Amino acid sequence: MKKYIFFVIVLVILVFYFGKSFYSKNYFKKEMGNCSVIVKNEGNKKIDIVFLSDNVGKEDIKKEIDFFLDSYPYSENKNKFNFFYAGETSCKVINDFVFCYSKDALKKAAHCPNDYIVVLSDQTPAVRSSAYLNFISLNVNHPKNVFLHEFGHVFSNLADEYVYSIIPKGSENCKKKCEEFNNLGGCFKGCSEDGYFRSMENSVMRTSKSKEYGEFNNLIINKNLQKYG
Amino acid sequence: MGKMKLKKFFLYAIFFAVVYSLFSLGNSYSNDSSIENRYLFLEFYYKDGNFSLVNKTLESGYYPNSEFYGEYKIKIFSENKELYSNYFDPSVIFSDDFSKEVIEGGVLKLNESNFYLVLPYFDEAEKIEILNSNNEKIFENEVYDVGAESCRVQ
Repeated sequence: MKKYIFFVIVLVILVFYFGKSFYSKNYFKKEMGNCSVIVKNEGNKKIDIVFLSDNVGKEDIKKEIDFFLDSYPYSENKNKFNFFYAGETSCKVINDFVFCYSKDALKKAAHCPNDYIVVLSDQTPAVRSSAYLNFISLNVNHPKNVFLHEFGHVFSNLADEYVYSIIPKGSENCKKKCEEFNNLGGCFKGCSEDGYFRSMENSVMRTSKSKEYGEFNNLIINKNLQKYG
Repeated sequence: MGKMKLKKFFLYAIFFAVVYSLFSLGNSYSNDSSIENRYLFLEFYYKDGNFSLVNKTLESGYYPNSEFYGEYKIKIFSENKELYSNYFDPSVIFSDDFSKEVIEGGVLKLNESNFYLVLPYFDEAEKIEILNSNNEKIFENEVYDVGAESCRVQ
């Protein structure tokens, strides 16, 4: 009789364990698809960035993340970021820029916690990278700082500091008067439009050779980073 | 039926009952945890500052949980309170040519676009509204029927 009781108890434990994981796994496969963790920090309010790829290897994604996390001010806030990988998608080239925004990419990205979505696409260097809503389409053959530039658009609403572009509503880095920079950085003519000023001569929002946002822009970005724990 | 056979029968019956109930328990446990991860997937058509809803579905997964930027604001309401709001602008695409030292490109302003919003799902959600930069309501649609799970639909 004791043998039976022991057998039943072991069976109960096994069945409960496998029963639960059977349903969990099936649910995950069916409804959640694939989501791989690349970098995960403990805590609740993190900035979740999901990568997808278009003919690009995972090694390239890792390089983008490493470059990003080595760049100020993100380098001082590494623990506020999570990075995930949600699989492959396909991109289009429209008017000389790569555009990966699609229903497919969004639904795949939704398998992971996703505040911002980044697709790495293999295009010729002449094809521009782009940002739309919270979605970034990066040409992997551009310098790594293109990620910093596009993330500046989507995360902190930074305007282009080259001329000519359009200043998005609510953007704070292009000013009508130098005094508005409160002596943070310098003051240089031309910021999206001729009649506006920028706070750094050659920030990453203006040139492909820089990986710095500049003192004033860092203040804007840091203000946003403070919302996360 | 002998005594031994009866004992065996009862043991098998208990065993299958236990297996069945534990599988059910495992199943409900998994479904409960999935409730946390549902979102509204709304497909819109935008033209010259006007919006129309093309499709609305309830999906499993995660929705973005950050504050965004843009000319327009979307709000989700229950019968008597605002549940969620965020900004967006489907008319702005940034495109940047990094093959040059000084970047070229800029903002492409779209007159029309098809775009999607991934929003949190609330059991008590009744409707969504879109407001323009003057805080004027320019779009409204019911969402209580998405996924057909709200009390009103049931």
